[in-house]
Amino acid sequence: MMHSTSAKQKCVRAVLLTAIAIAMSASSRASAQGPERILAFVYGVTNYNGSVYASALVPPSVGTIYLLANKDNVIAPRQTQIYFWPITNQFLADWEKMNELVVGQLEVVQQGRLINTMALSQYVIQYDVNDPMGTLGLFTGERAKAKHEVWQKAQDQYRASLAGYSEMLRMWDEQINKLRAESSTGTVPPEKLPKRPEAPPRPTLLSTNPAQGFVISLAAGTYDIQVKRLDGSIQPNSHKRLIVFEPEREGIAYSAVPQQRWTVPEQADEPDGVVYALPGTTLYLQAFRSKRFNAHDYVHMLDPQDQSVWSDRGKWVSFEPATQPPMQVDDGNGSVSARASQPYFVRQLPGGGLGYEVVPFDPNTMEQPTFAGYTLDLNADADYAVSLTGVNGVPIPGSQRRVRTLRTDRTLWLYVVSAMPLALGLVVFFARRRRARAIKIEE
Amino acid sequence: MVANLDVRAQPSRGHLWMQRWQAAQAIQSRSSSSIANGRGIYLVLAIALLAAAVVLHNMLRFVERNAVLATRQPLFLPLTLMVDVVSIYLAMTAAIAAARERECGTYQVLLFGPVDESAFIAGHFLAQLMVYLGVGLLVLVWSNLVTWLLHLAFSVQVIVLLAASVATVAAVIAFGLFIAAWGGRTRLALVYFTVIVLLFVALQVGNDLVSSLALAHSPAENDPIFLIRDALVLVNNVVQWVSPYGQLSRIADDLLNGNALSILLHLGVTLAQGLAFFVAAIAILKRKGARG
Repeated sequence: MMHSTSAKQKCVRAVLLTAIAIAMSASSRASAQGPERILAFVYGVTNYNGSVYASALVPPSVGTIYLLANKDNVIAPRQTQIYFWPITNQFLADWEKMNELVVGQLEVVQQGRLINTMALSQYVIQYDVNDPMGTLGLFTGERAKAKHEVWQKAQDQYRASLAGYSEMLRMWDEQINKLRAESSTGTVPPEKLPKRPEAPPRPTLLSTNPAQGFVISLAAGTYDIQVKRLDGSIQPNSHKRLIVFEPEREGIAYSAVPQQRWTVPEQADEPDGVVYALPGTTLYLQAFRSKRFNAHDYVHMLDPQDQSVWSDRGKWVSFEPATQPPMQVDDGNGSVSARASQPYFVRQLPGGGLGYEVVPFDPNTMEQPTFAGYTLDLNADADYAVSLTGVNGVPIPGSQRRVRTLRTDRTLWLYVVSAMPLALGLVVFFARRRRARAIKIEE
Repeated sequence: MVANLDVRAQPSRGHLWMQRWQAAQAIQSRSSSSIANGRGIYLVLAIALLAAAVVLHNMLRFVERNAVLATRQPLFLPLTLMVDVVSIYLAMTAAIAAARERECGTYQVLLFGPVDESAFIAGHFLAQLMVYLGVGLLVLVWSNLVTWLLHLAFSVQVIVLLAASVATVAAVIAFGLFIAAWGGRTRLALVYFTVIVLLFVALQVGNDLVSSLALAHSPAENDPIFLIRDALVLVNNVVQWVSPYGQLSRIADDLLNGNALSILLHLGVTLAQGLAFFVAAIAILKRKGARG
């Protein structure tokens, strides 16, 4: 009897365990299904951020698109499947599952007046890797087609050259093997070695594939946009507010790199900012052309789903390095000198210290410079006024900075001076007591 | 001097204002010297400056560790901290002084003389403001000493900020007097004042905290604390306009950005706030009468 009960219990336990296992596997299968996809109309935006093109998704939950003024930007209307990605708290598009262009026209409205109706156009973006900012271009229509053909031709030529190179390399290998076989020692003297074929240079021009979108370049202002379909109806969810903005200011940003801690540079964006450093520091100032934007607008241009930035703040964005203009350094004692930007190489020091050493770049022994900057050696009471000199010797607007040493050894005096009101209070207290005693004596 | 003045007996409007001004000056003179002869203001100013010194010390430590620091105005934060501490003290002193005079019946006695509600409030207001002008001079000396001592860059903006802080302190003192008139008893006025100041501080800190929390986790349209953050931002935007400290903070930003029009706007808002509290304090006193 006991045995039978135990067998029954075992049987029940086995059934329960199996049920739990099935339930668990079912739940794990459910969690592996991924987030739910929703069919949605979105805008794929290719925006110019001041130096390069970046892409952003505008899902139905976002009501406003931000773009830079007087620059070619692309707004592509698309049907896709979107899903919520909780890790980044954003809607993402599953372009692989669906990526359909919504054919129609873009209506641009300002203050209730239709100011432009745009047709879809083909476009490509190209640049040369040797000078990305200088060669960056967005080409439309027939020009886009021609530019893409040029790029395609260069790619085809490269592939053909690569195939030829591969064949020549194989033949060179055979020649070596043959020479080795003919040699009594099994080795080939260097003077008898055939010249190794050289690999063809890789094309430096990069290009996107031709795509379609509304290429839009507007003056700063607030607009409304919507897509009018071929049948004359307005595409649902296509109405968005479009804010086109300009940089508030332009200038030169500096990255101040102390020699002893080059891994932690300090960013000096504001022209009226002061760079403070320890006495005896060798400072390298790396200069960049920079622009100040409204932080809210700029961040929302890069990520339309972002909600974190307040509209009353500015944001400096650094672009290409400014290494050509000489730097004028006024040491505050009437001595003004000009300095050129110099290339430097950062070498990791051997041993367990994991330190770094900044040394002038030597093209004969080093591959490429780590950075280029203007060098300042700061003495104990250094107070430099620096600026970059543009054409005709005029300082480049926004490039002025002051560089000073900070007296960190006077901390105690800082507190002594701050306690000054206590001393004053004591003086007042004793003076009052003296006056009070004098009154008593008189009485 | 005060005993010969009788505000109610003079029919001429100009003469009435002159007598009122003289009465206010008499109260101001008595209260100012009382504060200047006390220990509190020196202690509070020393605490404020030592707190400011800690902020500067922090900056020195940063430079010691990182060898370099780029900053626009290292004295702005210490100075606004000092203004916060000193203004709260002066506003509390004003609230206590005015409420105590009502509570003890001194105010009632004064009303039999040449003092009316306006002269009473103006006297206490000016007393605290005169003390702050003295404090401002001391802080100006302190800031120049610190600039020289630490080898900071001298900036006229510091002087402008200190000058603008007079409007901020005036608004906070007027708020203290408004609370004194409204609260009636000293203890009640103190409680009201503390609660309101703490509420403003809590809103500011709460907003900063929630904003930083959100920033730590990719804030987006679907942020889990989106609503709380938006609500706090909204409330804080209101507080920033209502609070004289919020206005001073905006003036400091505008000074750095060279936005003269905005500076004037925020100075105007601060002065309007002060005037509103000042007038409201007088109106409440008039409505409540001598005994409250």
